[in-house]
Amino acid sequence: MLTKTWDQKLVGLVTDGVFPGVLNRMNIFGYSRTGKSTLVHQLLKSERVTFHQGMPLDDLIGGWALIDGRTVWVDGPAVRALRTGSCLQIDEANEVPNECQTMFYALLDDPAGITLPSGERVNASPGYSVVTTMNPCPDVFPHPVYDRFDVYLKADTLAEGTKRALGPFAKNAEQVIGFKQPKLTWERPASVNAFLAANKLKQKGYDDSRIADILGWEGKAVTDFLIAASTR
Amino acid sequence: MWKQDTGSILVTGVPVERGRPIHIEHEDGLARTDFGKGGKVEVIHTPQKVFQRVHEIMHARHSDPRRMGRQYKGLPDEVWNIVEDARIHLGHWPWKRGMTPEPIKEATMEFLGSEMDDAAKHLIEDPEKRGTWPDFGTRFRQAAILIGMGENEYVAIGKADFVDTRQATFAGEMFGLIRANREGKAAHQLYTVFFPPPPPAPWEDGISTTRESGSKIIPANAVRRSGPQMEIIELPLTEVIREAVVGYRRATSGSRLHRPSLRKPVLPQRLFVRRTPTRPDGTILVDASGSMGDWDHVRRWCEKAPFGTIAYYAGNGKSGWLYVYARNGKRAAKIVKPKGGGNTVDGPAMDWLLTQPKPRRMITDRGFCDAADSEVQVVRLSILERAGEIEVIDYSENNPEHHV
Repeated sequence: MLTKTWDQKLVGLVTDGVFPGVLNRMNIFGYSRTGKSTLVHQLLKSERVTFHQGMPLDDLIGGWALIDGRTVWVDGPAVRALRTGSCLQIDEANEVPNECQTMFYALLDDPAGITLPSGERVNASPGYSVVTTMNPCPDVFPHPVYDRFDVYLKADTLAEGTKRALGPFAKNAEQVIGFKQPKLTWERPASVNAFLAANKLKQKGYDDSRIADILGWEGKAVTDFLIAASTR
Repeated sequence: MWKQDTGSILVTGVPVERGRPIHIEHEDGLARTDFGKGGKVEVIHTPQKVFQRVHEIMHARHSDPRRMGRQYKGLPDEVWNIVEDARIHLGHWPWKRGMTPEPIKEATMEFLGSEMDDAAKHLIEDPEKRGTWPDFGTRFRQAAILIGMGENEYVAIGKADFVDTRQATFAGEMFGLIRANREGKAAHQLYTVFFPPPPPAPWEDGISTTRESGSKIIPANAVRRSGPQMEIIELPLTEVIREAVVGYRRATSGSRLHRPSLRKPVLPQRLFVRRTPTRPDGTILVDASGSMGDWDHVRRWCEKAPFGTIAYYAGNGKSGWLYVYARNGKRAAKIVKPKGGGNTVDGPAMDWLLTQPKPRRMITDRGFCDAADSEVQVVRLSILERAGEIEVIDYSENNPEHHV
């Protein structure tokens, strides 16, 4: 059996209705220039924001603006995603600014919901999902963040779209994909949310092997999950 | 090389009430589950291989050190480990019949195949090990694993390829005991069959030097457990066995002259005398149960093995007696008939025989009965026979002329 690449897995999950749908929180980590952000945006028509250390909270949830002489609330990308039930894409998620930390937790909750400075409570509409992308491995996240993601994908190959953009140089680019970049040695550990996600898939009739695959476990982690999930 | 897997998925398969173990992964083949106080699982050591990981999780879920301590008390590790492995595989394979995930099934079959290959290699180097404990134990566990995965028991035992039908049947009987939650009994029976009795306890010392008192009572067999008692009775050896008188023969060379020959007109070639050599006659044990009781055999063996130790035994269903009738060229004045005609103490009698000088012969029809462990003793005798510890002479063939 051929092992699927991360982008094939992503396309498969979206096509099969696993993401968004059954699972709604995904982290894609890996080498730069592999096509992570582009592919997510194209596939999921996402509301998109990029974290950086100096980013104010307004850039995430929105803020008051003076329009036609009146102060009116203008939704940011996170609130638009919540209201419309669409995908919130956060690039460079490891750069989460201090000001946004708590709101980041709330956006990753299931069900998600935030209270705006106007006092309005905005709960996630059906279809809301979050995809974060970043270069380092997820062990840079504090535990409450890392254990809110249902699916992890390791972007260690060039996405099909990137290969098309590279044309005949795709093979050259593949040779240098991890050049001078940190090794992607992280393996998803067991966690409460991993088993929450597993149960959501189980409820939908997925078998344990498929569940392990969807959750991003590979090699002996798959068989360990099969053993651990056995009931006798 | 080892490392702790801090995010181990595997240990999440252990119910919290059984403990919160840590998982140590080893580069070598080490696989072990460590229990702490109160029987909680503390550490699971696994190699990288999948089957051993399944196996250790099964131990962590279903092996209880307190129960094991009670059931397997006094038994060597190599015995109770195999029985406990068989127990968990027979009753606690993590998946229902036919539901084992494909990667696990593949890994298990790979493990079984490689273990059998290793066994075959060892047997090529040392063929005499076939049918002994390591060989039987390996096949016993292999069969249990297959049965646990849903294989038909007869097929599984067939695939395990035991040395003979007797061992295969015995394995099936042990599986029956284990399934009936009598794994302790199974372990003790396996021990009895495959291992020599342990040395006598201090209070048993002097079994062979109790002629003053005439007898000594020891437990039914040396694996200390309840069961029929056997009394060893040293009959007073007052008669010299005619054939045991040391004689002389004339020879063509020697250090002593045969003086009468010197008086002959023509000197014979056999002019010297030599002492008749004595043979190491070993020990002969006669099964004197009802099916065997022909006392002429005891007398005839005295004639044929005059320097041997000759004993017979029988029982009455509850206890038994072993009479030492002859030793070192002397015999008892008469044969004392046992008070019963049953087998009963075949096990303890064999224990006794194993403490006696070689060669050891046992005259029996193998029709052991009327004791709880009779069938076990039949298997044990066949293993001792295979190992060359005891030569079995079938009653029907019991003609001393052919065997000495």
